[in-house]
Parts: sequence; structure tokens; C-alpha cells
Amino acid sequence: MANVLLILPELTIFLAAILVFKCLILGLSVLHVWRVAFAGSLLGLGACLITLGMTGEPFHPGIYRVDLFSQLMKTVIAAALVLVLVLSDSPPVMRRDAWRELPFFLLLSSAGLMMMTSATELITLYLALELSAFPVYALIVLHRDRRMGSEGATKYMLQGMVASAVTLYGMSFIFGLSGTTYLSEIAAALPELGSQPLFWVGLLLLLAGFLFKLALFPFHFWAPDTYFSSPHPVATFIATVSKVAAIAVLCRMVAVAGWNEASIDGETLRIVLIVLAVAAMTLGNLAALVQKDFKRLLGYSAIAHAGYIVVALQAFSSLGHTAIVFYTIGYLAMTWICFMVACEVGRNRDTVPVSALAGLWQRSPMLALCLLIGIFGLTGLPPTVGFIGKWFLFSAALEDGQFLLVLIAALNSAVAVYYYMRVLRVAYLLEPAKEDTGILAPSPLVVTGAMVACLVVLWMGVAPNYFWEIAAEAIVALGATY
Amino acid sequence: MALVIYYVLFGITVLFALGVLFNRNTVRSAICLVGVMAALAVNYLIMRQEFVAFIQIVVYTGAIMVLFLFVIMLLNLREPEVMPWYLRKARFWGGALSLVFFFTLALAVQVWTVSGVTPGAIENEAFIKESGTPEVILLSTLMITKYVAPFILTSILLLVAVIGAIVMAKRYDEDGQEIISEEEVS
Repeated sequence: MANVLLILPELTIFLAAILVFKCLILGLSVLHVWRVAFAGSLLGLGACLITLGMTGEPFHPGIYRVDLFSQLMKTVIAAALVLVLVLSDSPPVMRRDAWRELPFFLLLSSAGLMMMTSATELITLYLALELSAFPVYALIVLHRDRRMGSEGATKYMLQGMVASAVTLYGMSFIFGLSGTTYLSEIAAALPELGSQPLFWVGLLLLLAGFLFKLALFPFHFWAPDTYFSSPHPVATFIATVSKVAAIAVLCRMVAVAGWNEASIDGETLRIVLIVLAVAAMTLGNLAALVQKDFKRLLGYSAIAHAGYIVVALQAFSSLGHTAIVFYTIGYLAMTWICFMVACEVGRNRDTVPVSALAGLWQRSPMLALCLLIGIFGLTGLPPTVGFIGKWFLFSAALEDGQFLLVLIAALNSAVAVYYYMRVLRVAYLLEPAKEDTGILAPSPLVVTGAMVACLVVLWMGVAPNYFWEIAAEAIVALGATY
Repeated sequence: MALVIYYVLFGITVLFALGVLFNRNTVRSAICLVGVMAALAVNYLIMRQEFVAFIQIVVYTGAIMVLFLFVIMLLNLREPEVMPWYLRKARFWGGALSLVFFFTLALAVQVWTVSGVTPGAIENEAFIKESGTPEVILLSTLMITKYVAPFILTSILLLVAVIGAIVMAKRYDEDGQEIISEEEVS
């Protein structure tokens, strides 16, 4: 019984998905299906909160670990799922017949992401990765413009498949060397494995699939294209929920391999990560400068942010990991706010060019204010979490003596100010275009969600200690495992 | 002796796999894939995994490959078109990058000193003899103990894939909209 309680969040989400599936078969209306899914996701969030303090292993020992770290990440995922579902209530940019399937796939993908955060066995990890990806591939195709949907889905799916094949390839190396797929056993054998270059090659290949989800430099090509051509709620899901799980897995893998005193060759991994981080930040920010589409711009900004996160990841320290967990929570809220604005402005548009935001302060002061907070956060201006979060990320690298890397990161953040401010300029200083002067009135639920997200962004920015302490405790729990 | 058979078999598997990649004719590629699957089954046999080998033949060589061939034959196959210049360039760069990747891996394998590696066959045989239980039971025990989470996840993954395929393959009228009644939407 206690074991069932440990996997309560996943179980709730799975059951909700099955219930939604049943509703689909019974032919309930869009609204009803959506309500069931929304209630399910709220229950899932509640289940995450209940299990927040629990520790244990629900299955065979070593296969699946429930601790504060995994549960915190699951809570974040569940909260983000609720927020995405708020936006997924019959979006006009999707095919009408797919409205009812949208919540079902979102639930299943989130369940996969949740399992990713807990998996401590390579096959489980891989299957959870696939489970989180398949529903999203299917969702992108359901754009109302079939050509756009097919294009986006093909790009995302092909690259995702290649990335997961590379991950599997890396796992085969690690299995070949260590003879086990259990992370705990791999960690125990690390003093011996760490001296073999093949292990590090394998580990890097393994990380590829998760770096792909995070859209770090050599795996970033999909991000702008997919954000651009997928239906807005689906893009929101990809940009927020799936990043959290990828970051969780990266933290876990680096904690296994990098924190160990015995791994002298961990330095090679670090050098690779530094190169990738610098490339991602520079490329993301420079490419974002010339973007005319809002979602595409956010895609390039996501690449840059992946770089910032890896800046702290390469420190191989608990401080760096804590900073990452902290920043992830804030990043999720900021990104969601920006995408929420894109969803509302682009309610009847296939794409959301930056120019569509013109005169937003006249059309909806609330959305304009949200956009301000979200963009300030992504830029890294106080009093939002963007500032203090980046501060933590960079100070983790500084602690490690990486002055040059932090300098590059700081310069990059300065470049980013330009394109973020351009968005705000359009929203606040320009008159709305003739064809869209109508007042935008988000539904009460969206307004509530936006208020919560804005509150999180500001709260974490002004008084970070509460969230920082939780993140630090979670990382202690993660470190205690290996 | 066992090692020689091993390497010969691995060679055959790799040759078939290369055949899948380099055949211009799709049907021939598919037939080569049958060869890969069959060779893998023999590999399992040598590792004393008779049950897995049997499943491999029945499921992959028998069912899945036949479906593959069906689909290929149902599609209108034309001669491959002449590739545009950028794809030819991509081919060159892709090839060059793969070579670099290959040598990196080869270097890593070479530096990795091979020591104390026992082929899976010997380990398996010893294990089966020692435990004295039929292989199917061993396999199923593993599935519900050590690998229970992957086992559950696989079933859900397949469910998702099936539903996703159905949703994508629904029929639509000229406007790209499936005809559904109004009360269903509201």
C-alpha cells in the first residue's frame, strides 16, 4: 500500500488519462472531456504535494526512486500541466476534431515526463523519454493548417527520433562496459569505469536525448521551427513542461557521474558542456535578434536559456544543481506567461508575428502587464526571478572559478536585452494594426493562471529564500542517493 | 571456437544491415532487414536464449516484416529521383562527420583495455545450468521483478502510439475538417 502511495502522482495522471480516453469513446463533448482532464491534472498536482516529503522505491529496488528531488520536479511538472491545460480549452488553431484528444495526449506525455524524473534505470529512463515524446509528435500534426502541422511534426519527430536513437546507442556503451542498466550499480562501479574513455563517450551520447529536449546547441534546430509551426497550446507544453523533466534527468546523470571524487575524467565532460553552453548562448541570442515571429523568438531565447542552465550544470556542484532547480521553476513561470500572451493574441491566427502584439496595452492592459513581467523575467531584470535566478546560476560557475564563462554569459544576457525590449516596445508604444483593434478578453481561468504565474515570478524574485531552501533540500536528497 | 562463430555471425548481421542502408530498391532493403532479424535470432540462440530467438523469428521476421513489405508494395514506388545539389552536399558532409564520429569511437574503444570480458553466452549458460529453471520462467521473473517499470511503460507506450496513429489517420472532407455534428462540438 505504501508503495502505491509513492507512485500516486503518476497513477493519478495515468488514471485521468484513461478516464479521458473513456470519455472520448463515449463521445462526450469537448467541454466535458476538458473538464475531466483539468480535474485530473488538479488531482495530480494534489497527489504530488501529498507525496512531496516521501522517500522510497515503489518497484524493484534501484529501478525507480522517489525522493524530494523527484517529487519536487513532479510537482513543478504537474503545476505546469495545469497551466497548459488552462490554455488548451478548444483552441481554434487546432483541427476541430482534435480538440477532444488534446487533453488526453497532454496528460499521457506529462505522465512520461514524471516517470523520467524518478527513473534510475536506463531502460525505464529511455521508455519514459519515448512516452513523453510520442503524444507530442501526434499533437503537432493536429494543427488546423495541415501543411504547417505536418512540417513541424516531421521536423520535430525526425530529430527527436535521431536524438533518442543516439541516447540508446550511448546506453548500449554504458551497459557494455558495466554490465548493468541500474544507475546505482553504475555509480558504484564508477572508480573503475571513470578511467575508460568509452564510458564518457557513452555518457555524452546518452545525454544527447535530454539535451535535445532542452534544445542545447547541437540539438537545437527543432526548437524555433517547432514552436513556430505547432498549435499554440502544444508549443506552450513543449516549451515549459518537457524542459523540466529534461533538466531533472540531466541533474541526476551529472550527479551520478560528475560529483564522484573518483571520476578524474569528468573534466572532459565538463569541457564539452562548457563549449556547448557558450555555443548555445551565443547562437540563441544572436539569432533571436532578427526574428519577426514571437514564438520563433521565444524558441531562440529557449536555446540561450538552455545555455545559461548548462553554465551552472558544468560546475558539478550541489550549489550549481540547486541554482538549476531554482531557475527551472522560475523559468517555467516566465515562459508560460509569454506563451499565454501568444496564445491569447494568436487565438485565431496560425502564427503570432511580433507585430501582432502592437498596441497590446490598449487591447488588454492585463495581458500587456503579464507580458511585461514575463519579458522582464526572461531578460533577467529585477525584481523578477529572472535576475536572481541568473545570479545564482552564474555564481555557481564563479564559485568554481569559471570567470571567462560567466563573462560570456553576462555579455550574452546584455545582447538579449535588445530583442526582449523590442517586443515590449511593440506592445506598449505602437498603435494596434487596423485589422486587430478588438479588445482581448481572456477567460477568468486564464486570468487566474496568469496571476498565479506572475505572483511566482515576482515572489521568487523578491523573496527567493523559501524556494531556494526547497531546491537545496531536494539536491541534498539527490546527492544522498549516490 | 565459440568466438569464431560469434564473429562470423556478427559479420553477417552487419553485412545485412549495410544492405538495408545501401540498397536503392526498397523491397531489397526490406528483404535485407529480414536477414538482419534472422541473424539476430541466431545470435540469441547462441547466447542460449531459445525463447527470445523464437519470439524474434515469429514477431519480427514473420509478422512485422510482412507488414513492412505490404506497405511498401501498396505505396507507389518510383525510381529514386536525382538528388538536388544541396542534398548531395549534405551527403558529403554527413559522410565526413560520420567518419570523424567513427574514429572518435574507435579511439575510445582502442584506449579502453579489454580485460575480463566474458561473452554473454558463457555467462548465460552457466546461469541457466546453475539455477535449473527453464529459460521462459527466468525471463518472465526478470520482467516482473528487475525490469517491471520498463515492462509497464512499454505497454503504455504502445497504447499511446496506437491511439496517436488513429487520431492522425482520421478521415476528413475537402476543408481538412472531419465532419462532426454541431452538438458534439458545443
